[in-house]
Amino acid sequence: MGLALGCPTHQVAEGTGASAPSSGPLVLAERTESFVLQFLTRKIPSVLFVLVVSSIVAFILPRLAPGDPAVVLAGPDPSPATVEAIRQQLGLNLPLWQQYLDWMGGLLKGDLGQSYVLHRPVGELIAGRLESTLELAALAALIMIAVGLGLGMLGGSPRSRWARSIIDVFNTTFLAVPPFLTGLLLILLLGIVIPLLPVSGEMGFFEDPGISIQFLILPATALALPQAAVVARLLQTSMLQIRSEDFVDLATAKGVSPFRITHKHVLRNSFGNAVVVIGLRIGELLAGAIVVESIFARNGLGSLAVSSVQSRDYLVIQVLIMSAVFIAVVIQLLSEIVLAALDPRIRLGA
Amino acid sequence: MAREPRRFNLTASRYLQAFRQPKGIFAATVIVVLTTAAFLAPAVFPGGYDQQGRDALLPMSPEHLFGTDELGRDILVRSLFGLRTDLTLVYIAAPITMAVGTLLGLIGFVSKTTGTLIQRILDVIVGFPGLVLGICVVLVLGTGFPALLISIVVIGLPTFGRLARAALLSQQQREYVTAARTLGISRSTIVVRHLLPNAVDAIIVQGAVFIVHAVFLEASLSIVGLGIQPPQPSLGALLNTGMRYITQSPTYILGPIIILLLLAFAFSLLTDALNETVNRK
Amino acid sequence: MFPFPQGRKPGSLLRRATVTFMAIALTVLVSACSSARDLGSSATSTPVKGGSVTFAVALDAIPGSVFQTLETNYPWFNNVFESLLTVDPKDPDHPKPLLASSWKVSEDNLSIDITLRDDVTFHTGRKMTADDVKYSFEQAAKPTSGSQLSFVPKAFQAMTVVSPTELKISFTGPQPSLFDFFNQTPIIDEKTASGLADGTRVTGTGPFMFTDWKPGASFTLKKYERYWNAKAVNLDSIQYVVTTDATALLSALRSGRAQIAMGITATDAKSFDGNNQYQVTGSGGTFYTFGMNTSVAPFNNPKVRQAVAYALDRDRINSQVLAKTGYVSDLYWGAATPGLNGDDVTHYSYDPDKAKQLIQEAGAAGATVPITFHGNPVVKAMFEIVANNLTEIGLAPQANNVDQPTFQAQQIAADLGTAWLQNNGQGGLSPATLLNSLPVLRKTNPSKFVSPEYDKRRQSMFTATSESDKKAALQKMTDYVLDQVWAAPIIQAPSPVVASSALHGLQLSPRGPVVLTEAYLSK
Repeated sequence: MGLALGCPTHQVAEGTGASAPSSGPLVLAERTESFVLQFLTRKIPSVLFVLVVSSIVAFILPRLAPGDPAVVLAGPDPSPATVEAIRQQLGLNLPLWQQYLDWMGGLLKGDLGQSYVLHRPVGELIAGRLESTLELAALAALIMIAVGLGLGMLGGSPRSRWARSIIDVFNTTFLAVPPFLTGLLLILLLGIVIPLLPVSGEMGFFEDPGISIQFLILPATALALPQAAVVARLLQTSMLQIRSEDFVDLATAKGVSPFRITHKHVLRNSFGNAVVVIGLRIGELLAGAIVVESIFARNGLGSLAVSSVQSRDYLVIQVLIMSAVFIAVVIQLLSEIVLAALDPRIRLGA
Repeated sequence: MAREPRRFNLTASRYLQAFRQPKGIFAATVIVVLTTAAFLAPAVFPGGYDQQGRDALLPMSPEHLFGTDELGRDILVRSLFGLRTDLTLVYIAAPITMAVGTLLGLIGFVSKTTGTLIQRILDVIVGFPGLVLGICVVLVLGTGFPALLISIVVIGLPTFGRLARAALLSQQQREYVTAARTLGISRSTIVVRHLLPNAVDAIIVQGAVFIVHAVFLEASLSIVGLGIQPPQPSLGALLNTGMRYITQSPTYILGPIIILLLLAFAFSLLTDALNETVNRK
Repeated sequence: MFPFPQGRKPGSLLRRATVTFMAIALTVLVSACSSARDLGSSATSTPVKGGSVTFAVALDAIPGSVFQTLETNYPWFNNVFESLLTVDPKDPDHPKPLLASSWKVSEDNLSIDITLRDDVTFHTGRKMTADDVKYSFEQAAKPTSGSQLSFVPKAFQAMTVVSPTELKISFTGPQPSLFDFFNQTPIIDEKTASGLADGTRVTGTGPFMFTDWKPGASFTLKKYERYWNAKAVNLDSIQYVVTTDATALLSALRSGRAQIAMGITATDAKSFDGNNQYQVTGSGGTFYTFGMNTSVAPFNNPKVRQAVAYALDRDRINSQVLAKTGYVSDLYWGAATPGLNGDDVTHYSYDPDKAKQLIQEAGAAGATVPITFHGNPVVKAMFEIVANNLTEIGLAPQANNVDQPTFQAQQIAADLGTAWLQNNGQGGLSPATLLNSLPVLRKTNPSKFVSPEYDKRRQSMFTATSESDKKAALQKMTDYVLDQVWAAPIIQAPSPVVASSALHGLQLSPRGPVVLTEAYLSK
């Protein structure tokens, strides 16, 4: 969470989390119902608080910047009278509290409002860009899962020292390098030096899946690798730990083949953690999409956010920020539940 | 995780042990070399970073190791000065963020309501997409060094606030804390003498992670066009401009990329080394 | 690690499709050659009917701002909307008819009788009449229209609809900017005007209809079958794809996904030079200027302002920032303006020694000069050279980089600080018009430059009617602007347009819009 650069900031936390009992999800399932309900009820006030404060900040912050939509709409060489007239037309001269209440009233009724600059419903604008970001995040998630599980399993299986250090280097590299840097490297390598894939632009998946995927590969890879490394490292630690437990020794003593041990016992017991972490990481993928979109010139939600800040399209920014906050709150709740289930010493809702 | 409570023992020697392992030695060497190169740049290149000329976008050559930029300036020189900008930024931002963040996280023990309130505010910051928050802060405060510094600190606060809070939560139920309370030791003393030492390891390690993330944040803000004021270079600003010439002069962005990669690796290894050192205890 | 699709570049399918499409295009029609710059139409090629062109643009359309001259609208606007007449900047006194078939200015220069074509219909099918012209001019006069030329219709005394095809306009004084206004102002449909803001109903009288706008992504122009000059139109449709990224624009062109692109930087456009599959040219004209606040030190001293004008290395700016596509000039009026003295254009050639000396004389050495500019990459690079130049002559420039809305808000509040870099896309307007429409030249300008002498010379520009009076007034104004130089012109540059050489009949002008009325695709 943290920097939202799409790069795992919680390396430390992940490392320690992995050493918790491996049967997390099972325990979770047993304790879930009453305890999660209770937890959620207790959380409602603070969630509401976060949402309300966020909405106020999201409302105020862009308005503190110089210039407003009227200035943008007034064109290149406007006179002050022009701008004032447009301001009147847009209702930007109303008192701030009234604009805020109007917006909140609309939100509660499910009306996201209308863009000041494009005069279109905000919902429609966001929906128009959603496909691009979702395609990117979906492919990135696939790559993250494939690479993360692959490397994690390789690292967690019995290997030579040599093989393991190679995997370690992979992990360290991916963990260390943020998506935009991977992106730039991929552009240089596969776009310029060996011009294999397009370096920027996009096409809708449903327009032409083949070409769409070519545009997606580089940004999705860049976005996925750091998260994949987190998944890999976690799975690896978890597998290595389970391997050292008694029942594995017992199985080995009974003469079960190493392959069977890895598959039947170790992997099965480690997967729970990995699944949980993958779920949480998908949120991070969305957050990391902004910079990657900007590097690869994709017209997704990230570029919509940046361009609407730059055109002072207040309502679009507000709605995008609120959606991000909402997603973050949900992920936060989920991770608290999961972490509490894994480590009983942390009391929920404390 | 279940470390025994320790007295506040923030002697540097504990962390210096990280530099006895190969990883730590390598990391320290790279960091020291890069930092020295960056801060000596003005002495080595007295001409400064803005020596323009007519030879624009030259390819790599012995004279100009990474070629020249669109205004005929040496890219290597600009990269080093850019690194200097970034390192100045993060070496100031990181300690501030760590200190303020930790403080905010530990307040909860002294006053529960304030602590919860602060956590909720940190939640708000976390919820904001980092880059959008950064852009807004920069727009409000105007582009330039102070605005960048503030946005980096603001975005980094929750990480440390939450780490400190987590240490607090895991410790405050322990017997020794309860015992100290019954003995009438003041809450702030407990925070300083018992809770802070338990958080400090995690915070130091996270600090190493944060430094490099702060560099990346600067780069990201510059990539979307807001950051350090020209003609002063920064790694991100160089990438931003270099991307525009990527087809004509692909080597343009190579300098900043290599420096960023070195930084990323060095700090990642440093994190690993520190992590292993503190966990060995 | 991942299965990469075999090295086929995206878009090659599309290109093949387009080629096939072009191959089956049938009808041949010879159309009259237009007076504007006619791109790449070799003598051998003959117009081909049908086909579709993909136009990659860096900026989205803003159909809500029909009365503003916006660079973002150049690629499509004049294909959908038309004005009464067109003005050639080289011959501003003799406009060519478009929606107006003829006009007559009264002897006393205080009224004009306009006769309209009687065969023009809006895209809704409704006939265009003098009432629509009147309505459009009334709208342009409103402050919310944002028209840079709204000062013209504001000075109209009366507009009288004489008959459906005749309009009489009277004014209180001579109107030197009247033809510029007629040229810039589109005739819009009152019945659907409310659909302009959100782009749902964009109704003009032009050869193409504006459809399928997906803000931020794309829109399509479809041929209007009942266009009054339909036989001149060749293309069936033009698809506009918004591609904000420079590299993506380039790859769209290179891969053949787009046949024409606008919004490419000059340096990128240069990479197409010498490649006979492409034609590189420019449209419109942007003025880049270095503005100075004459109410504060050091720029309250004209010597310092002149020093700055001498210090600017315009040639280096032209070659490093604009890839030599720009036109170095110390004046605001285009080089083609009739009656312009060539020496004045290069009055302040690069002379750092002289500049340094002037700074010394003025005692301004070491003065800090904060320079405000917005984040446009071209302006930013220009700033770096300008700052370097100013340091060279002993001033201490400082950057104040802001984003576009901030810059604009400061400009409106006349609060741009000590100095700033500005760009205005008003190339091709007549000097008399620029005096009112270009912010740096307005009577109340961001430089806070006011003088009775300036007012006097402005007035003689506005009232001059005879050829020789106009020339004399322009010369006096030019001398004054050069001497006082409250804003130093840096360079005038067109927006690069790169097109496939298969695209013919493109009409471009220093005024900006790209007209595709007669464009066609050859094999």
